[in-house]
Amino acid sequence: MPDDESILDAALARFLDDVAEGREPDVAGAAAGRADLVAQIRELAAMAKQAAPRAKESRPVIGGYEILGEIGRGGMGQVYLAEDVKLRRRVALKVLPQRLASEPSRLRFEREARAVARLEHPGIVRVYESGDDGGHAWIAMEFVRGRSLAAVVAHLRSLGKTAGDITTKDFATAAGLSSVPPGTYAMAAAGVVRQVAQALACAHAQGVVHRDVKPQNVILRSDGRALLLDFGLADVEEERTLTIAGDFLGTPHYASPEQASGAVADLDGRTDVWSLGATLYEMLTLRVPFAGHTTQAVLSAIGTREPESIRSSAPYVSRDLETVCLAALEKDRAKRYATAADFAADLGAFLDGRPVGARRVGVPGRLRRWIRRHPASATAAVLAFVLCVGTPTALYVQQRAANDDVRAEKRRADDARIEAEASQRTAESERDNANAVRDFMTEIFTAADDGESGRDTKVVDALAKAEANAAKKLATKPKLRAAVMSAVASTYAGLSLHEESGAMASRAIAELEPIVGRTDPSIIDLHLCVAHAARCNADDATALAEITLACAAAVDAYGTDDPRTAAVQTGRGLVLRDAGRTAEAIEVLRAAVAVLERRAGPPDSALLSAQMNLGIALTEDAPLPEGVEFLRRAHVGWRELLGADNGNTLYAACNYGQALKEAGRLDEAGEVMVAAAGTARRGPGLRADITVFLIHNLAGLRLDQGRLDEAGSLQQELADGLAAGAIEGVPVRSMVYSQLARVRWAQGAAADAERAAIEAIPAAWAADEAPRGHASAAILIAARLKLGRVTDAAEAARDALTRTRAAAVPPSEELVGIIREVVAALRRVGDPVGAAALEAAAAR
Amino acid sequence: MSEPTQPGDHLDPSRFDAIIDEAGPDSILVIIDRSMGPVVRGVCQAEDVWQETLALAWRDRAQHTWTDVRAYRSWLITIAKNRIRKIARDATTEKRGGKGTRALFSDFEQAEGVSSLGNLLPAGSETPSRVASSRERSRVMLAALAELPEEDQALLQARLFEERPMEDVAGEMGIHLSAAWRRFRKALEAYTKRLEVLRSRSVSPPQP
Repeated sequence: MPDDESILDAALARFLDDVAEGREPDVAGAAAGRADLVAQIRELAAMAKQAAPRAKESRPVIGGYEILGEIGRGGMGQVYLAEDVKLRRRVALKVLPQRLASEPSRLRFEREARAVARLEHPGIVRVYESGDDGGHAWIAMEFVRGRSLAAVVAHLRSLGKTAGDITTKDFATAAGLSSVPPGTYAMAAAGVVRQVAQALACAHAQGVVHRDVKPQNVILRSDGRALLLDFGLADVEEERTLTIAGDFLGTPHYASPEQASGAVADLDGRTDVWSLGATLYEMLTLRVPFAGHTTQAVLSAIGTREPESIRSSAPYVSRDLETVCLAALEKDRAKRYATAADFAADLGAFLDGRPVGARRVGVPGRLRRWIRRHPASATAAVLAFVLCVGTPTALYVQQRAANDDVRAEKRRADDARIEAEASQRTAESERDNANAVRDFMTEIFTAADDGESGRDTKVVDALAKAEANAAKKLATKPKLRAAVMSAVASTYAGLSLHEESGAMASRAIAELEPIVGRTDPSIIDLHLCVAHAARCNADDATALAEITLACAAAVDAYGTDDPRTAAVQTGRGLVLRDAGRTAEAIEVLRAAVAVLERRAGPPDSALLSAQMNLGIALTEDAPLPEGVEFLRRAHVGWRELLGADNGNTLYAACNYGQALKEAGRLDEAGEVMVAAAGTARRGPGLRADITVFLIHNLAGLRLDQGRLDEAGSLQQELADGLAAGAIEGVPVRSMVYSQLARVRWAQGAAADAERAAIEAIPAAWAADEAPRGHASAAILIAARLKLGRVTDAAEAARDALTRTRAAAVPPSEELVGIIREVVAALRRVGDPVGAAALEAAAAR
Repeated sequence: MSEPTQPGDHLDPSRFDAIIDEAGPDSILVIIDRSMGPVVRGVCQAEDVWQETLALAWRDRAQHTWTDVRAYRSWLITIAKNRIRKIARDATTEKRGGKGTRALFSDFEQAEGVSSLGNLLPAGSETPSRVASSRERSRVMLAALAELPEEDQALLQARLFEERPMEDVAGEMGIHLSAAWRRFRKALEAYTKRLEVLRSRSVSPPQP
């Protein structure tokens, strides 16, 4: 019979295990009928629960949210990372501790919750709910992982560069972005501010003014999305009962002149526009627009001084962007952007390469601003100006304004008449144009010299002569000439002569658009040619600018719901996708598909192209069923329209097969890929990229399915093609050999894997494909270790580290792991010095 | 708190935070703190060792064969103790003129909402953001322990925090198993009383 001590010991041992595993201690069971020991045993259970190192009850719970840790604190309480105990959703929990809960503070806190709860916008941090728990007011908000703009700007300042030398790579690093945004840093800054302006527009539309917009209150996610948070000082239109007379609330550097002057009862959305303009200014110049040693000094500067010119410290900033920023920083709010939406629109115009709405300040305005900047020196200068120019300037300005109104009215009437006439002529002219273009092109090609070798040579020569011939023979027919140029540019593009296509199209636009107008169908097509050429050159900015022009012209020419407009919009969707703006691309492509699907009859090229590109965009990050379905429709449609061996059909098969594979529908993927690869081999053959991709993807599928012999055979076919010169291109070489290395390694063929990896590695780094470089290096090192060649493995490891460092990328975990094995292997073979050296190199 | 752990969970980046939570980071910090001698304390803090432990646990996750959370916790503690030994060795080497400077995780720029561990943990892991609160709770535990005799502290650490079998602990202490349990019960009682007092005074998040 166990003694009392033994029973208590056993109970405690059991309870410690129970609590550690999340079980409730069984006091009755542990007492085992010894009623006299129950009280002591119960005490032991309580002690075990209280002291248990893995106890789960140690975290406080507020309002149904378990506090995981503090993530920030400010004037209005603390912010914690918390988890909804029921939904297991992570939130940011803002808590107003009891000790800070004065009546005004509490009211402000509650107002923040109400203000934000009604706002639904991807750029505004969502409020889920709010409440009070034992005197602690709380707000549960969306938890956003990212960096504040303040931290980003601080990081950029710490680089010690001038504002003009900041690159998008610097910005991406500072912001922790997952990719480097295209364009310049100024464009990236404008893009961020535009997002915030759009969010503010939503808030203002709901009657909510933020009143504390500043870099600290903007969070940038790693995907580049900007969110506005902390509506702690928000003014809600119908809740203006709080008196804050005389109190300056907000952060001084970003306060608007009306806030600085204390006129807080009269604030509207334009105050947020100002603060956001100040934020943009700081991003562009890395300094605040108004500085001072005290709050009062800053507020005074805001009210009385002009900010220094942006371009004086950041000459890289375009005039347009400077104009937009300064328009937001107009002291007179009547002259500021009327709404955040207007501010956003002008930033969008800048980013799209369109003219901005804001106007640079003219001479009288500049003089006024100069006076504000240099009040002491101004007097003499003003006198001189007035004496030289005087009253006539004012009169001139007034008369010009009146004349402008009359001219505008006349223009509107003219436009209406022209539009009516144009509609009637359009149908006739399009038909006539098409015939004339066909005739002209036929004449050009049949006039090409006989005796020159090669069909392609004749075509290219003929195209080269076409532009000059068109200028001569169609000098008095600009519309026809534009149509011919469009045909020639498209033909160049069809021959993959993208530079020639883009250059010719640009020349044609420059010369003919002023004559035939921007809405001429040929001009629209020419813009598409320039966009296409830019895409092929990976120039996303130009591509987007051109396609945007084409879309705007198409809307004006055909209307929003016209299939021709939808076809152009499909191109825009493609360009947006290339630029990584996938969400926008999906939106545009969906709209285009919707318009094109409404057209009667079987699917045509325009619809299939739209469906395929929508499917690609939808399956970019994950194989969404909707995306896979669009790809299926496109594949089937192209096959029925153009046949199984057409390039479009094969391209659609490639995307559809890959999407099926990523969706886990491996057998279906195999069927599609096998059929398409076979057709491609028989048709365009290995010389065509599409054939290479189809075979490569099929090999990858077989590898995933464990059908290694097939995978090896397919991948070897491509490697042999490369060796024979049938396939060319560094990125293709990297792709083919790195997968061959993977296949051979999977087959256990270390020597073959080594050979393939040796081919893959330089190609991968030359193609700037670090992941492939790392993966192939890891296989090379592993293969050499397996073959017992430790020294060679170490050499490969050093090479990998050198290349990694040169590319300024972090090594992959796989590479780090295999290098560790090499270090251990070097020690085992009695080379501690080599091991230490490699370890040190890896640690650097 | 979360769904039961399954074999292979420790390889899943989406489960990393939950596994670490289950393993009891507060008390692991206590073990780390108590395992750090003056040399190691001179070059880093317990949080540094813990963060390195997390990074290594994630990096070498494939080396661990999952059985249960207790075993995983033991593995984490082993990693941590190995790190402490290495830090001590490196610190001694430096003193003797050896090469190598040590960058501490706490030296890295702590941007708002961004882990200083960067790419060393699964993407989206919030474990680093909770180190501060774990540290706060571990300090309370350490303070409660510090008021006990050193032998009782060692006993509690070994059995309560490190969850080692009492048979092993008794053997190391050179006492009978029943004596070890008796001593443990008394130490635990004193510890929990002290813990209760200190927790009620701590400046942790407001208790409803």
